[in-house]
Amino acid sequence: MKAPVYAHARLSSVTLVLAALLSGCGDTAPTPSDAGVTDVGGGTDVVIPAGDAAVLPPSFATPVLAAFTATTRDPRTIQVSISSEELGQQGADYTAMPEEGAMVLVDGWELRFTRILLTVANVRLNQPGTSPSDQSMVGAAVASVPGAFAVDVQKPGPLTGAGGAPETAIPLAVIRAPAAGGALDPSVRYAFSYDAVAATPGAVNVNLDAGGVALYEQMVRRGWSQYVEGTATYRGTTTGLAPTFADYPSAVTFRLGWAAPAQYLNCNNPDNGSKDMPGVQPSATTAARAQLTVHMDHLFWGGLGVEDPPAHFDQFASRAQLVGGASVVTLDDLMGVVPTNLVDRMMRPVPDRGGQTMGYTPRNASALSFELGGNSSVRDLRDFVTFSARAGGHLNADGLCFLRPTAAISY
Amino acid sequence: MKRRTFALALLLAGAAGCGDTTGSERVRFAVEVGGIERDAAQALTFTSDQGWEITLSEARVALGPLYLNTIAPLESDRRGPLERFGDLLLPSAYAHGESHLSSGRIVAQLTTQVEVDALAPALVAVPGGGDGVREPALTGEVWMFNRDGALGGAAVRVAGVARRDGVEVPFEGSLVIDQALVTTGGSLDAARRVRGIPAPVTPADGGALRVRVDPRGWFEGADFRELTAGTARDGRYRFTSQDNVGRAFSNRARARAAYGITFSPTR
Repeated sequence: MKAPVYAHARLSSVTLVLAALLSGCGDTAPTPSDAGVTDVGGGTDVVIPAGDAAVLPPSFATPVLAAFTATTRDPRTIQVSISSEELGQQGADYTAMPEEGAMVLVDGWELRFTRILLTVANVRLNQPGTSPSDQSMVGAAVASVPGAFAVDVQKPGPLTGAGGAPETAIPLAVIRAPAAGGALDPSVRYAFSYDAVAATPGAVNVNLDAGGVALYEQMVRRGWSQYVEGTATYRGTTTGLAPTFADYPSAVTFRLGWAAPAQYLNCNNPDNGSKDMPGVQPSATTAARAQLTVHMDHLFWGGLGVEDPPAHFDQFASRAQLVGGASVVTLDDLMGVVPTNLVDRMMRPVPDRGGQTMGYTPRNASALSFELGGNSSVRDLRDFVTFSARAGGHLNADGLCFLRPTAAISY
Repeated sequence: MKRRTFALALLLAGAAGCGDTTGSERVRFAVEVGGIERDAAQALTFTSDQGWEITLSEARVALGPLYLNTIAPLESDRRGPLERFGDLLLPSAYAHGESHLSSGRIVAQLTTQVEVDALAPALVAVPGGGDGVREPALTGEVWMFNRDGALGGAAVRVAGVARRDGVEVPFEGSLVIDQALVTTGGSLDAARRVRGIPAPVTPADGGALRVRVDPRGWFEGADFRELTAGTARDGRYRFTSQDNVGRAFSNRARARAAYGITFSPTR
């Protein structure tokens, strides 16, 4: 169905903020001398010009009914849901003495997300893979869920998440039978896969409110597959820091949008009793769970090629610029910054103040740098962040999927 | 702790794969190592992503042990040269699952260490060669240990001149595998390994495993201007792990793209 055209549409304030962000995407970065103090404006009313017509059908404004509820337990079915886990939904506080395994930004920042918009599609089952050495190899197609789902995974859902309360999950769909007919076989661990795709007018609105719909429209226009928005507030020590930090903001809004379409294939499933065992197995007595899980900590990781490396925020804070009186950072602000040579907007090395957190020892306190983990195609910090984030798609909390990119990352 | 356990499991898997009685044919093969294929009469000069024209006068790597693994390479490393060339034209950063490269199973090995002159295109036979079972491998795995002699106690040693905008920076430096490379939560074993090097080969008796080292990506991201703030010794600025050149080098010299592995059924 062709989308109606609304020329000169006046958009919500949320959209206006994003529009201001987008309008700055192609701007030349401020020169080093004025980068720390320049206010690049914003806050003025914006009218989308003719030609930037609405792309979403009116029906998109209303979220669909939930595909199932927390009490639905149909045997031989697979309930598909999605979650950004506790981190995406509630954020992360800062503590200098984190518990083992707790998510903490070692450089003293508190994290809160306000939007995590994405689109998933092609949720599907195949017969199990045949190659223990190549997770991407799966058997014949069994069933698939038609369509794409536009969802804000920051928002809580009615289901308890795979990681346990207080984490929640959002229902997406139920796979009830093979496409060829009959019933799902409880003796088979079906290979489970899904895709991350660019925002599309054809997607089903799972839970986007009016602000989310406006943002999603911008995502469609930009071809983004994910948009993440939130705030970080510095809660760490204020004494004994390098003088450089006096020039960094203590509260930063981050607005990160990018396209990283990919297939997440033959996911491992911790519900099988092992993190390394792929497949979802229906039950003869109840429903099986397949929770697409988006790990938000990947955005802040300081290394590739290792699991759960220390997470930081100074790489973002050091690049923020003033927009309407607030410190804002986008992925464009990270362009050209070499991950092994992080510099702030004034082209000074970013010091590593992670030493204030128990369990983290800076390798060089005067220069924060990230590890590439053997990867060669990561050109700058923007690539590094999205490269790492793309690997954040899992199943049932920590199940790793074989990740096959379907297009280059773009912004 | 997890990393150490993993490394041990990997070694045990390798030992089992080469010594079991599952019926796989045991094979021995030659191993030949060298630098990139080029005209050795010319200096190796290339331009980095930061616009530095770099001419190398020394590029040595302590290579080995080396293992061939059944695990498939990451998707981003499966692409051919033309697809990789596309990365230069598109804002591309093909991603994959970071540590999602699972342990796999080792089917062949070179257990000795050899010094590779990455500037010398001629292949050099490694005494003793390698051994394993006749079974397809998909990736190679290089371990790096420090070495005395020409490497001076380092795993990689390099020297050359970098030029940009009229600035000329003679430089030298090395990569030493030690605790300074270990990130919080990581391990020295993980830091010394280059895993997932595409190597779709089947070891066979009488054949030759060929490994080439390409140093042209070693200084991606490096800005040599920082070195000139220091003092040159014997006419060269020495980079270390404390400056951006050393940090870039320590990452890029351990990149999968720096290694090429092929197998010839005949020597």
